[in-house]
Amino acid sequence: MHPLTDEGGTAPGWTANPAVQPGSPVGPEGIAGPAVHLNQVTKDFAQTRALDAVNLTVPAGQMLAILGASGSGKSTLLRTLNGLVAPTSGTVQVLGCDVTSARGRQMRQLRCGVGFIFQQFGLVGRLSVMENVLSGALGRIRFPRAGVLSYPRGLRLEALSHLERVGLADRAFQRSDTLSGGQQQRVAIARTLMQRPTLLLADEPVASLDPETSAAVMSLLLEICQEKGLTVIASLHQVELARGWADRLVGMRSGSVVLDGSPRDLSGDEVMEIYRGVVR
Amino acid sequence: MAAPTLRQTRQPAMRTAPPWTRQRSALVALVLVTVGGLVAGWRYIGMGVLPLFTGIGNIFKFLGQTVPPNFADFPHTLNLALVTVCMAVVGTAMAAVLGVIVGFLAARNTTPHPAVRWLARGLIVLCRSIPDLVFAIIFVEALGVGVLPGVLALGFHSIGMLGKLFAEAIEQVPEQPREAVTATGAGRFQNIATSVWPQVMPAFSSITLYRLDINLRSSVILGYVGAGGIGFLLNQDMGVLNFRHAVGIVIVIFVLIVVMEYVSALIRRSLIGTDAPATAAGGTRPAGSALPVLPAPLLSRLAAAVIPRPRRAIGAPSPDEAAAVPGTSGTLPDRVRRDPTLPPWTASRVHQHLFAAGAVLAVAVSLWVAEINPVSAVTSVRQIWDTFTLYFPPDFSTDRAGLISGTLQSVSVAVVATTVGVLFALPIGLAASRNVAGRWIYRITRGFLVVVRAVPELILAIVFVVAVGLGLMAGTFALIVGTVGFLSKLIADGIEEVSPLPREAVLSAGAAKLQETVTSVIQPAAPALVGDAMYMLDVNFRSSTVLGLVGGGGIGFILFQSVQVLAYRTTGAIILSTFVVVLLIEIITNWLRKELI
Repeated sequence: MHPLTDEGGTAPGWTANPAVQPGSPVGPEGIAGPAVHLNQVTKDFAQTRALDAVNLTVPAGQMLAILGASGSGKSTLLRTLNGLVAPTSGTVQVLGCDVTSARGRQMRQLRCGVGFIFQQFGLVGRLSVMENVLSGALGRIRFPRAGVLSYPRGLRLEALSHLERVGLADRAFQRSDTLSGGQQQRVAIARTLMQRPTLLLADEPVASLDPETSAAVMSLLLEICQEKGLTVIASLHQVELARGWADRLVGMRSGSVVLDGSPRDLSGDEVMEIYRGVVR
Repeated sequence: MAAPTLRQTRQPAMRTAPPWTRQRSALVALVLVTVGGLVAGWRYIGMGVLPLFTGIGNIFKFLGQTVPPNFADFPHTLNLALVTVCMAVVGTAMAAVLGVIVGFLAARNTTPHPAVRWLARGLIVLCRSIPDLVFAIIFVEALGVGVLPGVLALGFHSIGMLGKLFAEAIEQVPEQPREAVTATGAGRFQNIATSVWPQVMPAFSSITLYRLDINLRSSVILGYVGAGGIGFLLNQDMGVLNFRHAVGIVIVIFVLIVVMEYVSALIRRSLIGTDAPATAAGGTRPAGSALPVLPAPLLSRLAAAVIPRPRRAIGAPSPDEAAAVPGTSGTLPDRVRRDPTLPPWTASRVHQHLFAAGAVLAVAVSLWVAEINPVSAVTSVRQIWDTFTLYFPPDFSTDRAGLISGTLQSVSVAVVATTVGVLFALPIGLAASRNVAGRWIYRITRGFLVVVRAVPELILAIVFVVAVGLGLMAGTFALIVGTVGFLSKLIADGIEEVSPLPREAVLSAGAAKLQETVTSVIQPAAPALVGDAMYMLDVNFRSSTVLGLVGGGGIGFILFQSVQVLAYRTTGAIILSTFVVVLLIEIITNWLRKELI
């Protein structure tokens, strides 16, 4: 599925679904069917029900925004998609793989193809920017790596090219915890590119950034997703930001999908309805 | 007119006293139990301050017999001192390697299975609770007199502390990067190597260096039971009352410990000091951080000369290739021709490599100098196991009364020494904090603490035995002095970590210096202080077993009696009792931590 990078190859020009148009029935890498399919997915934590019988199908190439207040289940939904959270009941299928039953190697292989952008970036602070980006390739190689030097040169060149794409090539050997929030999230994007994903999940990718930076990071992320033809599922709470790029809006409240449609068909009032009565 | 209005608006239910929380009751209970323990322990061991004054004459008489110190056969002494250092180095290295493994198994977030975690934690408590001296007795029994038993004793005992502190450091690693690396499809081992290991490395090195200091002090004592090193010589001299020569040895030990303390402080500071990263990726210019060891340009030049750039010949890009990598060729000065995919040799990287190479070299040299053959430890596993089995099943019945009173005595000694030590260590710790005391007070106090800590407790105990006679009191005094030296430093280090921001705020509100110290320095540092005091209680209990060796009384006294008459199974019972007490202290500490912090 994910061939090892050959030494010396930079492979910066990979695209996930070159031919896929939004709504196309052809999935990534020729797998027919949707990129994501959730059937009656429920997740209970100790006290609360985070997801309540969620059904959702996302065709390959779609750019989907999940809206909802804090605690509405957006993060849990995204985490079930790459197996970070195991649902209590229901089935989750991602890129033709049954996430609910995947274990070990199978699960890791699935995660390789699914990029995940976290709100808090998730960089290893004491490692250099370069090493953080290279860690995106861990799923493709066998052994743990002791540092930049132990990655094949081909991967190192690829990492630099991704850093170049996010505009941070000159910071490659700086320690990542010295970067600003916006720069750290760009490094996280480069790390995700290193995975060469076909599906990108983003959990509040710009919620920790100031408005100006968040607009810049968001547009960079979307630009890259469009270039590579990625399927995108991003949770957000800025409604207007989501309307600007999403093909489809899904609203969540108390663990259920309460709204589903294209931004053109949904009025502002309808969207704001999902935030009603949720006072925390 | 304003006052009555205020009174009117005050609700009858409004309270100004803080609510009586669980935490507050626990705190009050802790104070009461401590005071009660101090009084009960004080009476149980028959402590008094008076004998110290009446005994001062004895101390002077004793010291009179030791001057001038006799440095006869100095090369031999120095050689044994070197062997002692080597023992400490190899023992610490062994404990570090094993401790890392145990630590990863014992940490909540990296353990493969909860059952493995509890096993690892059990091993940690077991290693901690058996004093290195007891390990030394067992290994000397199994392998004969020599250096290897000492190394194994230090190594096994240190696994306890290193494993515990390593596991705590691992549990403090933030969860988010781990989750992010998991999400890239990395395996468990890859994940630990990528997202945990780099984050805990500084803590690991600093803890290990700290343990090296401790082990150097303990290795002196190990010679007393035939586990090699300079302690063996010291014991000989004390036995034939050759005090002048003994003091010569003590001076050598003292210098050794002080030097080691400074060296490890330098290494620690240089490792942490260069943590500041390079400002630009492309430059060979080292980071502009303060380098206490050597000036930075000198260091990197040295490194450039000594350390070849790895893979440069193979990996160096042709000019076209470098140009093909976007963004990097432009940002690099043309004269710096290097592979853009390789990290530059910044000062911090040079330091890290030098440190790693130095550590490996130190262990290799130590093995060679002290003629330690690590293989023989593996080949004599059978003998060691056979010796261990001699101690089981433990025999509690033969000396039940002695066992109970000995344990109670040792607990009393530990409680009294710790509480009295805390009373002295608080003001001294404040005086030794850079951010509280004036510059000169800080320096003088720190210097004083280095001196106090450089005197091994064993020697303190001998001096106090001379002053107040054999028994519990001498051991308690020795432990009080040891506690002050050790705890003051811990307290000072804790206070120096207190955030300066609230202090500024309190000062801005017009508080006096003392008010400011109490509200914004002592109070934030208090939880750490409780933890440190409990740690000292633990250390003191184990030390009190060691001091029985020179007549300090307590459980140590019956321990060595039973060792001398080869009553193995009674010894086993005593070891098991100390294990239970250490475990109890551990449980109480954890409970206190949960309730108070």
